[in-house]
Amino acid sequence: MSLKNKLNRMKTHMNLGKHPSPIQVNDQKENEEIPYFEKWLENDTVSFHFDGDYCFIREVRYPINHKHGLYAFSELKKVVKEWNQTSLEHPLSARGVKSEDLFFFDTETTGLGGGAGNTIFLLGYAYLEGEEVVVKQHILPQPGSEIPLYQSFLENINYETLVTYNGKSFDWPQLKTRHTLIKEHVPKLPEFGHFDLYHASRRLWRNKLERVKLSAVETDILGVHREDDIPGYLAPMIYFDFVERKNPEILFGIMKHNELDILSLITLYIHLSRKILQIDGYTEESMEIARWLDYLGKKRSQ
Amino acid sequence: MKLRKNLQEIIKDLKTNENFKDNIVHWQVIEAKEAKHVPFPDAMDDKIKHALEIRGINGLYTHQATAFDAAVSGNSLVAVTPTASGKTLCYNLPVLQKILEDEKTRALYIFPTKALSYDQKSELNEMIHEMDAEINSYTYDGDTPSNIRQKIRQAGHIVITNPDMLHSGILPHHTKWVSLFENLKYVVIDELHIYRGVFGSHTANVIRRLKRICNFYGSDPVFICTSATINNPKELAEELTEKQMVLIDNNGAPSGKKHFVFYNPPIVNKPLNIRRSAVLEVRKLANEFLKNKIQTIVFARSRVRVEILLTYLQELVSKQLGPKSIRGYRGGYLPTQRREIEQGLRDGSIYGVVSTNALELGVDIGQLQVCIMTGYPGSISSAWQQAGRAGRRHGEALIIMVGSSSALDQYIVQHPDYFFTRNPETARINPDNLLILVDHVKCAAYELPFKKGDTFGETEIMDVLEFLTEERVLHLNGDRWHWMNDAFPASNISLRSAAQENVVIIDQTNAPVNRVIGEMDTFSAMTLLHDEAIYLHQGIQFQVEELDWDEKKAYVREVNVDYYTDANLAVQLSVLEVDKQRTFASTAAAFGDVAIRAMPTIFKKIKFETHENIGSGPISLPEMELHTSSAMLSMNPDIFNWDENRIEQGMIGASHALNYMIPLYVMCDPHDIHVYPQVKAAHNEKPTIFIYDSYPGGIGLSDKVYENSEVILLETISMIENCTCESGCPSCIGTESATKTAKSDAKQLLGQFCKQKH
Repeated sequence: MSLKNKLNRMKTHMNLGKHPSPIQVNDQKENEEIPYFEKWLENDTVSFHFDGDYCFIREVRYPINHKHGLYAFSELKKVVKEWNQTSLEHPLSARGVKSEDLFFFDTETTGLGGGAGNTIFLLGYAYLEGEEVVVKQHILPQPGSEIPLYQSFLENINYETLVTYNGKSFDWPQLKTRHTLIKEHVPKLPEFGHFDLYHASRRLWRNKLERVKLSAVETDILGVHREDDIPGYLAPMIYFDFVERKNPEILFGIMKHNELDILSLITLYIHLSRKILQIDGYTEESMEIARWLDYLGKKRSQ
Repeated sequence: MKLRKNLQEIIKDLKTNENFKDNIVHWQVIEAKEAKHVPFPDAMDDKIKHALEIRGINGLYTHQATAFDAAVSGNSLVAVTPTASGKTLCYNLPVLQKILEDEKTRALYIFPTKALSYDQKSELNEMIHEMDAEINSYTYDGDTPSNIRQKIRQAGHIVITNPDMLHSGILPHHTKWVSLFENLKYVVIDELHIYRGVFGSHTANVIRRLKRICNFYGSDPVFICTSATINNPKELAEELTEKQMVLIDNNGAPSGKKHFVFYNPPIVNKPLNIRRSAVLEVRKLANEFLKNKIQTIVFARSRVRVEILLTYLQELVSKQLGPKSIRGYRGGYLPTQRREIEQGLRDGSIYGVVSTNALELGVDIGQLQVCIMTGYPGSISSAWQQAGRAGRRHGEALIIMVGSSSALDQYIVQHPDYFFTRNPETARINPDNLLILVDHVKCAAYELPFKKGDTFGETEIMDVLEFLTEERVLHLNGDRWHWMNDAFPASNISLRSAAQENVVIIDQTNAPVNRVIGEMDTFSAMTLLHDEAIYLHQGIQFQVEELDWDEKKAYVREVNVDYYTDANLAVQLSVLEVDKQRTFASTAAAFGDVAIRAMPTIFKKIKFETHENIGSGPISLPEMELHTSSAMLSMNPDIFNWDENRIEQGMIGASHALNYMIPLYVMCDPHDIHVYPQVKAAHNEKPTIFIYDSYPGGIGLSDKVYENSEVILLETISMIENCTCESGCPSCIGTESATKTAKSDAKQLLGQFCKQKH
């Protein structure tokens, strides 16, 4: 898929002439139907129409020197460069990958567990683009409107490597599950590399943190402090309330929560990379990292 | 030293020994039957033929060949197969054949219990090995390690599971089983007859969900069912799967000679017509076999009886054979315990096993020579199933059914013709029981959205979907209903019992090291695990120290006492709605919805051996409420010139008798139905007998009673008439009615209900 990706990414540099963007923001007719559309617009969100149905897409951009917790996002470029210069083999190694190819990804769902009926109502991701970090969120207006949701999501992703928190066992399998139900109608799921930062965090901080949740890692390790955050476990209730009343105000809190989760993935990847690559020299995590490398070495020689 | 006797000698002994011979009321010899063979079908792959030849099989029994032909040509079928007739080949052969023809073929085997799945897997894998074919078969259930689950989902040609796992572990995760559902050619349902009543009604809905998912992935599997002998195998299979079925009943398997003995314990109290306890009599008989090292299986109807018998038998023979040589086997034991027992029976280190009907199923426990039933198991087909445990692979076998004092048992023991000539019972299910249906519509909506105009199986469910939408469980988007709830619906729905929660039994004898020794449904727990109850587990007595009702935990400690406990349940009943009614000159029969509130009141301590009452205590537990359907038989109170007490006594007696006869006519366990008399029923102020289903919402039993009330009443009257007691005994109207006239009064009352004329 690499060549197609590259072509896609570079197509703005090619004189292909203007073609309509899939996102129809200003089509008054279609948007008249959408309740509280003004509120959505105010919250950086537009609608995406496909096959007689629609979903929402929110986009926000951060300058690359925006600091989230310990680091500015520009540090991402640095650690990726480091990975490309070292010979260290590691599951989180970004060797051969550009920082623009990393796809920081997190979902919000209507329940726990991995059953077919657990609906993903928000697909959120961030990536580096030039001197900016772009955060995009695809939002399901109501259960059953999944064809536009996955259509809009899949026609836009062209990245090499997923970066998630516990996404190997939850987000990605659940995405596959929901995709299977409508696979006749939407593009195929691409193949991805996958950095699951949950496993890395467990290795480093399971003794330090009571539960290695992302929120705990944020507060105790990454120096990220949230104000007025809506806890993730309320997401299903809030979403159902939104579906019933259509007023998105309450959902904006969950979208913000998801956005911060995704931004923290960037900071966390920077931080983990710096620890593994010993950029900050010997730290309290160095023993755990040594054990990890030892384990990896043994596994390879088996 | 005295030489051990063999089975033939003991059989001779029984016929002549003073201790036994007078109690034998009927001795039926079922002669050995020759096998009916046909050559291998031409269409069968050489690899399969070769594997069968390795096992010394050079042809098929007639029923196996018919099943093969039907299944490979794409017909769903139900094969009626007695124990040990080679039924597994009825489904294994066509399934293996199809996989050899097309490697992508998948099959799903459904067994009612995990134990059966394990047996199947080993047998099937042996066969595959001998075929030298690349075919994967796996069991997939709660015990399957998570690291091989993915492999099973993708590469298992034959997946062996149980309905519970299908319901909560496979169907809700169907997107992970795409290769199975896309290529599913066969669904095998073994032990079809087990799927009746509540369990069958649930399973029918699980199959509706399975078929819905198959349809989504574009497959339409053939169903292969096998069943023990019941009256309506084809009908049951068709109701369960909603598929046209071919009935295969040309059994060609041989069987060994069987002695079927009806044994009635001697009368110890003539006027009251009370017989010696069946439990004590079984102890005597079993001892005779066990001390001669003849492998014997003893069936008892309740868990408590299993444990009591086990205690007795272990005491008797532990010196000769060692305490581990006799074991209990029932639901409520943990899986590892059960597996160990099954193994012990097969390798011969266990001589005796005392079992509830858990072992009625075809678990492979090898060759037992003797089967003793403590009381009639409740249905003809159940009795034959239990009998089949003895001598299942040819050879002579002895089956003894020891009658208890209950009316039903006495009726059977004294009417051998009824047992040996009557058709076995009809199995009934009611998949559209509203509670069961709604539960599974929820699960189904979680799995795949419903579209307007969709049915569930053949049932219209638009109302259910609209209801669930109002309840905010589903969301209507366009013409489709989608799941909109944070719950995982299957986890709150149990296929096996009315109560959806179980009480966990925790042994704190070695506190702080507590261990879980078993579990029990909440309804049974009310009367078996209340504070101070004596709970028996593997023959060991435990006293319940605390029943934590909110947390559903019972804390028990090992004790050594000479009594067991028995609890009373107080019942209140009110009529909610009458759906059907027939009014006659002086009586009325009705059918409708009722609410029952039940609360345990006191328990009694009953001494072993003498069975005398040596104390009692209160039980304080919250009331349980049950909404169900009921048949109601009412009459005008002034027909008889009796006072209220006399009517009440007569009605109690009549109810007792009815409670025993009804299971014969509607094929259910006596516990599935309750008979409850009221001298002045709240809804019509008339003497009324209520006959209600034990399961919430009803599963169609009381409806059948309403439809067939005249026949049931007539048979009950004739049962009372034929009882030799003077004025009522446990074998007809019970002993709760204290009046002298109770027996004739009960008969007259029933006779009155019977006059269904205008």
